[in-house]
Amino acid sequence: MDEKEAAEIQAEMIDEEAVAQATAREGIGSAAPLLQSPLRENELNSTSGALQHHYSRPVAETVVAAVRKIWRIVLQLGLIIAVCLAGEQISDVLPIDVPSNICSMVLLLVFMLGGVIKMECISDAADFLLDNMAIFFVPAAVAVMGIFSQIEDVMIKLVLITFLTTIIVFFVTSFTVSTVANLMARSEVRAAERAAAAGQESQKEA
Amino acid sequence: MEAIAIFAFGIVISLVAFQGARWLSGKLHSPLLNPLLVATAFIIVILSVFHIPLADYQQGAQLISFFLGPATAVLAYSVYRQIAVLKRHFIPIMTGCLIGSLTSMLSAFLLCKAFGLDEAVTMSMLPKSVTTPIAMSLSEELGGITSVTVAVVIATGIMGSILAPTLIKVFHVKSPIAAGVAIGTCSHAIGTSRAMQLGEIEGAMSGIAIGVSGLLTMILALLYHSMMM
Repeated sequence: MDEKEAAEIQAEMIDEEAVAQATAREGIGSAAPLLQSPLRENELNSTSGALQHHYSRPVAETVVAAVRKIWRIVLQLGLIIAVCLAGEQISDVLPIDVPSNICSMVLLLVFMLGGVIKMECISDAADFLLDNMAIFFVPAAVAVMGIFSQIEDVMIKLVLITFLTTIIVFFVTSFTVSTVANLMARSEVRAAERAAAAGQESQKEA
Repeated sequence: MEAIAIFAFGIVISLVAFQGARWLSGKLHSPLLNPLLVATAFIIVILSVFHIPLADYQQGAQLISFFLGPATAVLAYSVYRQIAVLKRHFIPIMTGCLIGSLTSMLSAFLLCKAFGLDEAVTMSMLPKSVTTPIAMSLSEELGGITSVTVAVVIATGIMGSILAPTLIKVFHVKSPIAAGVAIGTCSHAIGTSRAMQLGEIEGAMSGIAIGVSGLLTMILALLYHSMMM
């Protein structure tokens, strides 16, 4: 069901765009240029013309730019939500319990790597979501108050354990990444030296 | 009419509280003034003082929670932008996630035992460093208390985003890749929202670490569980 919805949303978006630009193409990939900056040029121009009667030019321009950007974000959000709906569908089908958010993330990455969704097609909405990411956790954090009575007794211990594990995990992880990266870099250098030495020897022999 | 007002209340108070908290943390540069923490505390105080039921708040707040899905998905966008870094440092990043996830569960387990917490709470703490949906299903699987897990997961996230800049300095983490993977592994998406502000590479690596560490933790926990059975 959801997949159908997703397909419908995509189809709708593409339809709208196609009418606006009077170019009929297929697929999300070909919607790419339509989602990018030079969007609905004729319409936006007429808006700015109308606004010029009331506002001085710079104001009208900023308003148009803002409206244009918001509209683009809304369209791009539609595309991202469509990918999320598809991700949800995939997570339902998978035999192990992979959360739908992770599925959507992998799916979007696959789409981007495959060139189905171009970076410009989601960049404005993605930047908007990433810049404001913390706010989306507010409701979940507030909901903790509902179970406060359940954890009241062990509260201090839980906070202390959380504090300690955060420090331990941070240290171990960052240390592992740096150490493995250094080891690999060193062995690469050694391999390069060996190759160079071998090259010199073969030159000598020749 | 009232229904609309209740719906609007949840959205408006969340937005206002968060923007206010962000403004405040910009003015006073204290790491403790984490916007998420301050906004949450403010809303909880408002709800308790005016005796507003949590359910009323959640009606509108649901709309904000809805964007968690798309916000997590677009981490793929930041990963894609740093795909060259990921390819080049693939093995260190994966090793970091694996060792980090193991350390997370092991340290949580040992500390819970050391503090004398009971079995159910210990099991709720094991998946505390991974993203909420994975943590919830794991906690259930292991016989933990789901609501405790959610609380601890969020606490870990906030803790990570508060501590991250300090830890980077204290442990002299020079590589933004190592810092990013560490933040994502120890404090999932909430930490990642902080990593995004530290830098683009940190944010992208943290985003990768959420997914990879989440999946690894899931596999490790299920292995442990099946061995114990």
